[in-house]
Amino acid sequence: MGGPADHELMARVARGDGQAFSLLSRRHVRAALSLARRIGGNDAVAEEIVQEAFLRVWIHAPRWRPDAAFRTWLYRIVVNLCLNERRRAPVLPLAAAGDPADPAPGPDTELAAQERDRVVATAIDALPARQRAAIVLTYQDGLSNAEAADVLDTSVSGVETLLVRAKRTLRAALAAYA
Amino acid sequence: MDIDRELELALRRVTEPTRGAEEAAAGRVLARLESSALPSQKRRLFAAWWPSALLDLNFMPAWPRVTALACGTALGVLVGLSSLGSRIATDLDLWHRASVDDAGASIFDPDSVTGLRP
Repeated sequence: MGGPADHELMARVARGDGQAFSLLSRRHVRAALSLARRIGGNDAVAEEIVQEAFLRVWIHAPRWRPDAAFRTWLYRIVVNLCLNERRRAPVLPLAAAGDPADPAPGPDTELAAQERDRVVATAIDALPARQRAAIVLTYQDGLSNAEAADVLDTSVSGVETLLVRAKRTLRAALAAYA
Repeated sequence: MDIDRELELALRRVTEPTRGAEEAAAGRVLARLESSALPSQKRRLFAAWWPSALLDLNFMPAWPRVTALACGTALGVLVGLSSLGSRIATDLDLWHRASVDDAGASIFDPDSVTGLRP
């Protein structure tokens, strides 16, 4: 990652520097969108959530303290907005099913893998919101359990419990398919 | 293949970001953020700021103790101003006002043998 570090940019954002804010949002928007899409399960809502999250970053920047990484704070805002959104208006997971299987003839193993992925994706979307968030933060964003705990505002053992429960459900779904 | 390993592989594939769609969505979000005027920022008020500054220095006041100290101080000042302390001491016969005779007697007692005053 080139350019100034996140905390330097945040110090400038706290002084009202719009250019630093633009740089910061360009740096993190893709990861934030990806996270919001997986947890929210809806592309259009994910865009709104990420926009709202960045606006909150701008508004609260003067109060931000670099106790934790900026990314962790941003993810926490995104996750909380997603959970609030899901609580308010549960949406049908349109993207959950993933892309339809390629109808062109292909190796059986590849088709089977695609089908397994579809089953797992559907099962992820059916998980309770916090379990889904733990899975996405850990696998998609590669966060450690401690970082995921910061984002989800829980303890490391709390994240481990969420992951164990989520994997148990996913394993059962996969076993049922097999 | 072991089902745990199968699940791990599927999770990695499923959670892999989809590049194309995300680029377009990121572009839309950034365009919206940059096209509209940013709202005003919430500044830290002095009242909200100074306890955390003290906390950084490990000087965070323990408010119940500060309150107890202030109450104790105010009570002490009131008791002092009302002369309540001296009245209670008088009532309980805790002190004697020294008289001139008393003082002379203690210093200039006649000698027990000669009867002379020093």
